Amino acid sequence: MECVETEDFFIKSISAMSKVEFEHRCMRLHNVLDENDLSSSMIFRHKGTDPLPLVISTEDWKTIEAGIAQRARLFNALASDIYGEQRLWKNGKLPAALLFANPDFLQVVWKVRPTGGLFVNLASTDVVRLKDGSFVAVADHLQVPEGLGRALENRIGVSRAFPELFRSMRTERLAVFFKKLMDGLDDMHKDIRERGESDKVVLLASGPENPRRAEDAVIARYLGIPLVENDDLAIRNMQVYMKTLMGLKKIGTIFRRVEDGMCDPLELRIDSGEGAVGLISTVRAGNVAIANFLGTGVLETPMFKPFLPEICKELLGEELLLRDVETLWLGNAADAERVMAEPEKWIFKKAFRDAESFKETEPKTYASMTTTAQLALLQAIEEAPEQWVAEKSIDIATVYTYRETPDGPNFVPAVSQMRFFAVNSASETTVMPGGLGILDDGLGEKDIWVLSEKPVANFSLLAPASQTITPSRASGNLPSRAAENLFRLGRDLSASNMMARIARGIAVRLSDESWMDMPELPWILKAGLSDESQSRLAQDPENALRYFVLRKDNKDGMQCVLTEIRDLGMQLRDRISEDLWLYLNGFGIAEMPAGPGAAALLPYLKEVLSDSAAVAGLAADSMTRGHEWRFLELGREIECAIRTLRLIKNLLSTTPTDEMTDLRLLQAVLEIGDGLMTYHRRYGGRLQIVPVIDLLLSDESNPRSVAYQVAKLREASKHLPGNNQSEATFSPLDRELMRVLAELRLANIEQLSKTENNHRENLEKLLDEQINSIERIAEIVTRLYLSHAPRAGVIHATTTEMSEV
Amino acid sequence: MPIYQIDHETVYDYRLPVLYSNHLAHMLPRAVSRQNWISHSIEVDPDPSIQQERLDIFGNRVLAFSIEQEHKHFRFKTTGLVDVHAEEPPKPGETMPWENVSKLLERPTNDETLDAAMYAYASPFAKFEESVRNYALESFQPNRPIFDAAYELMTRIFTDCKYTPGATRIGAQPQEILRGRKGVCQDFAHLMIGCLRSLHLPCRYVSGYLRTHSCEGQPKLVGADATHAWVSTYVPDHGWVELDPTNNVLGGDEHIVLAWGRDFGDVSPLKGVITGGGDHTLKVSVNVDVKE
Repeated sequence: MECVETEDFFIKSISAMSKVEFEHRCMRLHNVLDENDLSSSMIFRHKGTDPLPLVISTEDWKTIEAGIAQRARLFNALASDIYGEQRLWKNGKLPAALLFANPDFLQVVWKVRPTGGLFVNLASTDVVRLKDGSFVAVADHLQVPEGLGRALENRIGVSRAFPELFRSMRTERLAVFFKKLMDGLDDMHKDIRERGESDKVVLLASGPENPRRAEDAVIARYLGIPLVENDDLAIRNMQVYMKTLMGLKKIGTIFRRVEDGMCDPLELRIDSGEGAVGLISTVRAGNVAIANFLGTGVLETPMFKPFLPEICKELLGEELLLRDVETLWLGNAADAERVMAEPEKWIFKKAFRDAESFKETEPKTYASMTTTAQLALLQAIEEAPEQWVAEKSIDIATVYTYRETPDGPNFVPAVSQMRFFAVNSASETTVMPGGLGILDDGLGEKDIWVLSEKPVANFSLLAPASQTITPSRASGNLPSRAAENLFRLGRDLSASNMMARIARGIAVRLSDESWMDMPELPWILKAGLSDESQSRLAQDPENALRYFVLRKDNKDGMQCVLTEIRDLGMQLRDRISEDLWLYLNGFGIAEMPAGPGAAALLPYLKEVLSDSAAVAGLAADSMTRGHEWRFLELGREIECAIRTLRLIKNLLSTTPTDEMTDLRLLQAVLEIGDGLMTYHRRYGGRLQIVPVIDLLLSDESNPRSVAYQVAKLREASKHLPGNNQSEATFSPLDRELMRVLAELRLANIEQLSKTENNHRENLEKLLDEQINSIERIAEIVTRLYLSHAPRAGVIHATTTEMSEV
Repeated sequence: MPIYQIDHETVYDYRLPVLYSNHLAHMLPRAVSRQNWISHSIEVDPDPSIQQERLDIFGNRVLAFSIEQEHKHFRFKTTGLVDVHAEEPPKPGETMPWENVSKLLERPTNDETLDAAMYAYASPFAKFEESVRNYALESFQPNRPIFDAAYELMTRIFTDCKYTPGATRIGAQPQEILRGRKGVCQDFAHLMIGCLRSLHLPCRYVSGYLRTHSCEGQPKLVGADATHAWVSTYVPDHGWVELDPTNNVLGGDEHIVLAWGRDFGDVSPLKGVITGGGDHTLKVSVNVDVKE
């Protein structure tokens, strides 16, 4: 490999590798990252993780570590003053605007002391190295610091790609830091726990559509705590509970990953959706600990920067160790004059974050703006200087990355920020020895390696051997929302399976040249494809089939179901095994058929069916038989039973006049219903209506039969809370299940098969009843275990109109 | 020094049962120098499962409570007896020039100025807007004493805007009021707040009740009164002065103060989030009777 001029030991070492070897390592890195797939939801137009870690020497790390630790303490002390005595503002040193013009200052938590005593548990600071070798801070994240999960994933990837370098360079490990974080979260609700009430830590994540969600799932899983959404929380009697299938479970600490304003629709932003109504009262009552505490968003205000050295002296009695990029507040006349004398040397930012989006507004680099834009900026500053800060342009030292260039992949210099993390506890502050390197211009991320002088001890978050764990078969507390997602996933899996089998049945027939002469084809088409495609059926069956299988905008089509399966996989990420998640994440993402012709669809359909088989097998092999498994099973069986019943109804309740069509329909039903093999083994080649119906409807030894599904449904529902079948009175769910099962077992197939006026009336009637019953069973499950009553918005009871003045 | 008996009842009837509800009330009277509450009581039906009283950053007594039993009917009633008197306003010409007031509050030096500064910036229901500032500047000529200018501004709002119930929605921004020149007491208070704050002058939204007078010879209708809103501004070396732009008068012994904040959002008398309930009907009745 070509080497670049560098002092970097890592780059020197890999230069000794062959190009092939190095590419192989890069491939390994990307495989690890792909499996975790955080990249699809990056905030920084992510283009992958660079294979070269950013290496920090022991010497430099001492400086950085001290600086980061001090800032974490400083911001905790600052929050304590802001939401307490406001000493800093009573001596004429700080502008009042910093608090009262600041949309991030959260009035409702003023004078509320956090349970556990800390405002800032997890802190993070973005740092850059200047060309002169010094380090400066460019931003702090103190509300919901992002990137911790990504740093973890990058570390796993890069260290697996270069394990021998990772060890020989004595790279510091990250696990100890996560242990500290977890201990801190546990510690916070100590006071509550001592009252003998609670011992639970949960991670409150933002909704599944939030780009941060994937990372939140990684963190929750690594810390071993449940991931909940607002909807999983219930507040009763000013206590926070998690809604689970086993009832309400009290929560001690909420590690929140949602912004300040979105935590309680009663007292904060009323658009905070299904927020935990009444959380503020609960926090005030000291009944729950929150990390980071509510209101810490104010600490991220850009306008604090110019005042930090002074604040540090006031609050900690120390000099600020890690300086910010030079920043001036333009509300200060002397500073404004200095900046305006040479605006091209400055970057302009709003002093406060945007009140609606919680985001900083886009900084404006004067030197690179058009003349018109420059004039507009100057005028805006002139009108309200106190709304602006100016940040000095800086020269950042570059680091090497390995990336594609026009001449093939090579070492290329790039600008990188380093995001470091620290965790405060009552007695100490710990800085994570590592971090997230963020390359400029969306070029991706880097792992950060901090080198140790001493050999690095191995440490794992797994419980120490000395700690005895009592074996347990309990399945923990399944949040109702997770149960609902599993139930829907189960239904979608069965739906996609049946859709693919019908589509395959059609595609196979269409790819036969004599398809025009196949009398059963119109029946299957009508039975299988949904309403949307109906109009196309007559003229162009092939096109209708493609519309059904491939079109993403067909809401009754297969792609919609496949998309939902992948979304549900994402939402369930913290509850299912890594392997299962991998399959769900790639569910139905196979090469799309190239070229025309129904036959071209067959390989794709085969992929979908094999994904479906793989997921079923993995779930059966890897999921313990707890509630998670049960809800997945309930969903699968309900959907499978309904779809099989519909298939029989659509193809067999009306009889064609000629025997040929009749036989071909029987053949199709068996084929799509997956009973052809069993049938031939039992009855040979002769197709007759009675054994066909028996096999698909009542035969409990056939795993595709409706009776088998219902029997399994009953089995799975046996262990659901409140559905104990040994009790004398049957639950409504069990009663319904028993009725369906009895009807299937007692069904007189001979009778059902009778045809009158080309119509099997008895059969159709029975099938309709069964479909209704099973849909009712689905409703009961939803109502008993999964439903959440809808919540109305905030209501102001007020009339401020006067009758007479 | 009149004594008033105040009854304020809020009743919700829901079409479907409400499973749980959480409420926040700004209806406990706060201590104010010109008022003396002789008695005050609250009735809530159904009984709250838990309640919490606290002071907010503005010094109001806030009552948070939740009802965790199913109900289709909710009633919140306060009854109070209060002795009210007016305070002597400052002499308009002798108050501080308004620019000096905003300068004074830029970097507060004690509790009093820090508290006043809290009301000097834009807030959710009173955002900054150029047209509002220009409207304010017509009264706030350079170096004019603050109270003199504020009084004129109040009179201009009273003259320029027409009292029109139903013309605005809750929480209309000052510039919308200025454009439409119509509204109710809440809107005029927000407009005046927007004007003063656009000059970084402190201005509070005051919520309370107003004594109403029946027409000559007719008995007053019970429950026909309403809650009222006005503003107050900080005059250094004197204190806070209440101004009522809806009636073009200073807050006096006919204005009964309940709570104050930066705008309506901080002191909404009673708000709640309910689970279930469907559609609802709301009845609010307020009665202010003079006892002596």
